[in-house]
Amino acid sequence: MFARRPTIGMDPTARFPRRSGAAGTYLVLLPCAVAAILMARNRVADASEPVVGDEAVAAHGEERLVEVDAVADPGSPADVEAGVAADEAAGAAPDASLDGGEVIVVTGTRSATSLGASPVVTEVIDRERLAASGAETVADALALRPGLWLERGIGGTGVTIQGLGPAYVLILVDGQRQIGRVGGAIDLDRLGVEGVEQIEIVRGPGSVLYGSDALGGVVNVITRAPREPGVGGEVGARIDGWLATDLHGRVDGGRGAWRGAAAAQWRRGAAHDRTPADPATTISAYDDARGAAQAAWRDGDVWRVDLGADYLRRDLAGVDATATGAVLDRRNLIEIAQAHAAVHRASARTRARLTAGAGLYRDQFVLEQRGGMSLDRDEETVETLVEGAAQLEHARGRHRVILGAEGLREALDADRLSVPGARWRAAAFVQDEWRAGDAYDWLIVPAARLDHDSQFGTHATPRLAVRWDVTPRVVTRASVGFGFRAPSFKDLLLRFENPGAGYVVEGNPMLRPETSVSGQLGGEWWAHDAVWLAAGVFDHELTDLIAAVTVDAGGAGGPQRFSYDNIGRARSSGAELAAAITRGRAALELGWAWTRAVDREAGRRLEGVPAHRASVAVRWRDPAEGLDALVEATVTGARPYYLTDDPQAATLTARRSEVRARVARRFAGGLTAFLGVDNLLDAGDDHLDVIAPRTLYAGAEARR
Amino acid sequence: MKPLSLVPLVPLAALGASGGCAEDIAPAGDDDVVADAGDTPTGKARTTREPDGTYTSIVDAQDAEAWTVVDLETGAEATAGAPWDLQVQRFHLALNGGVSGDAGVEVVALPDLRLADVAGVPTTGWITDEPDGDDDNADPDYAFEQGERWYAYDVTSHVLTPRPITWVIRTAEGNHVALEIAAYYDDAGTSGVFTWRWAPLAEGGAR
Repeated sequence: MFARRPTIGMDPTARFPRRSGAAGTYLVLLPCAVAAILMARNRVADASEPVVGDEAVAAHGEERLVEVDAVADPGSPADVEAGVAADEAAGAAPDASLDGGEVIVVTGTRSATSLGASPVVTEVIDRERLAASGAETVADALALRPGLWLERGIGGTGVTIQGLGPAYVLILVDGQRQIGRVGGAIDLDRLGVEGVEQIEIVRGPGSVLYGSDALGGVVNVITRAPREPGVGGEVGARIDGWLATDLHGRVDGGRGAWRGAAAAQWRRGAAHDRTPADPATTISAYDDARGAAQAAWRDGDVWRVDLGADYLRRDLAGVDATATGAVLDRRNLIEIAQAHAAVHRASARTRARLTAGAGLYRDQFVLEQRGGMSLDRDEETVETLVEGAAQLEHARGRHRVILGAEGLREALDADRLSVPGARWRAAAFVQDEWRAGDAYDWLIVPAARLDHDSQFGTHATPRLAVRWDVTPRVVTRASVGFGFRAPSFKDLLLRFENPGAGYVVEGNPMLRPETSVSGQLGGEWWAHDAVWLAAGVFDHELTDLIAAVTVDAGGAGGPQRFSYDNIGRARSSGAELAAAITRGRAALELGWAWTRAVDREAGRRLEGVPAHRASVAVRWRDPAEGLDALVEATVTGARPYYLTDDPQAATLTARRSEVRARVARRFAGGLTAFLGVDNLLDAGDDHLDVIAPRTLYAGAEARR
Repeated sequence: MKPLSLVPLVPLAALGASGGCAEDIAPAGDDDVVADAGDTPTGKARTTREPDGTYTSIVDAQDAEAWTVVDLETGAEATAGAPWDLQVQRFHLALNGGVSGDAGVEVVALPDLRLADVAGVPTTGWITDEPDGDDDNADPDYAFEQGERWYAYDVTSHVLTPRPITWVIRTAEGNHVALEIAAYYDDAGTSGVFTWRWAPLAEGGAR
C-alpha cells in the first residue's frame, strides 16, 4: 500500500494510471500516459452501484461480474460510463480501491474490465484529455501518440500500429465495425470527438475476439452515454486562423427508466495548399454535418436496452494535378449512416447480450478534367454491413468464461468492381480468464475463435495472454496470438484499366486471408509514488500478404495484366518505452517507440513506416483557477518511400517535428474558453508528409 | 431480442433502400460537356504548317481498340483503303511495313538528334515492324519499340515521356519524312494524344 499524494495527471497509488481528476490518457503498458486525478471521482459518483456477487470471495480474487450497467460490451458507452465498479477482483490489486476510481475498458477482453486488471495492453484517451489536446477528430487525438503513426493518404487519415498499416487496424465505434475503407484505411478524420467518451487502443492482434482486420491492433471509439437523471445540454464553437469553423450542440437527460441524447455538429474548412505555384491542393476542403441520437431503457438491474443511430454527411473538395499536366477538380460526397441496438441481461454471475447493427457507406466521387473530358470520372461506391452478435459471460470460482457468436453480411457495389461483391461470415469464440497462483497473482487467458466466410472458408485465430503481478509495483504481461485480414472486395473483384499506360488490374476471387502470428511482452513498474515506467517489445510475422502480380505480359494490342495473390511476407518488430512523472499541478509524459518493419519479399523496409518516434507532453492544471494547459510534441524519424523503378532505392522523408499547445480557462456558469495552436513548427510538405499547416484556433463551450 | 431494439435500424434500412439521402453530384451530362468550352475536339489527326516550314500533327490515339491511321503525305487520317504510313493505338506506333503492313514503310532512329539537325536521309539503320521476338510481351516488335523504345516509362507515375529521338521514315510512296514525337499528352493532360513535329526530306539531302 502506497502513500497517496495529490497529483495531477496520475494517481501514484495505483499500479496503473487511472482516472483521478484532470482525467487524461491511461494505459496498461507502453506509450506515454499520465492520468489525472479528480475526474475519476466524478465517475465513481456516477457509477458506484453495487457489484453483484460474492464480495468476500471476490476480495480474494475469485471472479465475479458487475451489475447490468457494466455488462461487458466492446462498445456500449453505458458500460464504460457505469462500469466503474467492475471487477476489482480481477485486478487483484490490494490498493486498487483507494480512491475508488477505476478506468473501465471494454476492448481488450470484450468485457468490462478495470484497466489495471486487464491482461491485454490497452491505452485509453479519455474525454477530458481529448478536450485538453484540442483534438477535433479521432485522427487528431491519436496523432501524437508515440507508438502510433497517422498518415494522410488517398483514403483519408489512417492509423498504423506497431508498424502495421491502416488495413491491419480494426476501427470500431461502440464496438461496431466501421465500413468505408478506401485504400485500406478508415478515415479517422471523419470521426469527430465531440461525442466521444473515450478512445481505447489495443495493440497487437485482436482477431481472436473481433475477427478480420485486427492484426496490428484495435481502436474502439466509445461514445458518451446520456446523463441521468435530469436534463442538460451544451453548445460549443471554434474557429481557426484559416477560418475553419466547428459548431456543435448536445442535449441529453433521463427520466424514470429512460435516458436519451441528441447531438448535432457542423464542421467546415477550406482546402490547404502548400504549393500555391501549382494548381493542386494539398488537403481537401471539408464540410461535415452530423446528427446522432441515443436512447437507453432499463428495467432495474437486470435488463437494459441501448439504441443508437448516427448520420454523417461529409463533402470533400480539392484539386489534383497529375504528372501529365492534367488538372482535375475532385469532389467526394460521403454519407455514413449507422444504427445499433443491444439488449443486455445480467444476473449475479452471468451476463448475456444480444446486439445488432447496420451501416451504410455511400461515396459519390466526381472528377472533372479542366480543358478535357477523358479523365472525367463519375463513380459511386455503396457499402453495407449488417451484423449481429450474442455473448454469454459466466463467472465461477477462479474462472470467467465468455462464449460468443457473431454473424455479418457485407456488400460493396462500386464502378471499379467487375461485379457487385457480397459475402457473409459467421464466427464463434470462447475465452477463459483464469486467475491462478496462491496469491491470485497470475491471470491466464486462453481464447480461440473460428470464422467461416462464404468467400475464403474457415479460419481459426487462437490467442494466449498471461499477466503476472510480480509485486504490487510490478506487472508483466505476455501474449501470443494470431490475426487475419479477409481479402477486400477490391482485392477480389477489382477491374481497373489504365489505357494510357497500357495495363489492367483485375481482382482475384481465389484469394485467401492475410495472416499473422504475433507476440507481445511488456511490463510496468511504479518506481515511485509519482513515477511510472513501462516497457514492451512486440513481433508480428505476416504471411500470405496480398500483393500485385503480373498475370499477362500483354501483347497483340492487349494490355499488360496485373492481379493479386497471397505471396507477400512481412515482419514488424520493435520496442516501446513510456514514463509518467507527476509533481504538484504538473505532469510529464515521455514515450519512445522503435519499429523495424520489413517487406520480406522485397528485402526492404515497409513504405511509410518510421523507425523511431519520440514524444513528450507537459500538462499543467489548476482546478482552483479553472486553468488547464497542455503542450505536446513528437519527433518522427525519416520514412522510406519507393518512388522509382529501382525497388531498393528509397526516398527518405525529412524528420517531422510536431508541437501543439492549448490553454483553457473555465469560468462560472459552465463556460470554458480556449486558445491553441496545432503544428506550431509548421511541419509537413505537399508530397510525402502531408499534414495541416500551423493553425491557431480559439473557441468556447458552455454546459448546463 | 426485444422488438424495440430494432427501431433504429428502420430508418437506416430506408436510407439504404434509397441509396442515401444526399443530392446526386454527378455532372449534368451533355449540357455539362457543351458548357466545358475547353474540351479537346475529337478529331483523329490534324496537321498544321508552322512558319519554319515544318508541320505539327495532333494525333488522337486514345482508343484502346482501334488504330488511328495516318498518311504522312497529307498529314491527315487516312481513309479506308487509302495509302497510309503510320498507325497509332495508345502508345503503340506501327508502320505500314513488315508484319504490320505491305507498303514497305521503314524507319531509322536518330537518337539525340533534333528535327532541325537532320542533314539528310540515312543510308543505313533502316528497320521495320518485326514478328514478336524474345521479350516480355506478345506484341509484334514494332520498329518504334525495338531497342530503345520511343518513350521512357515512369513506373511510379505511369507517365510516358518521349525520348529525344528523331525518326526518319520512308513512306509508302518512297518519300522521306523526319519526325519527332514531341508529346504523348495534350495540353489538358489527356494521354494518347500525340504531338508530332515533322518535315519532309529531299532525297539525299536536307529538307
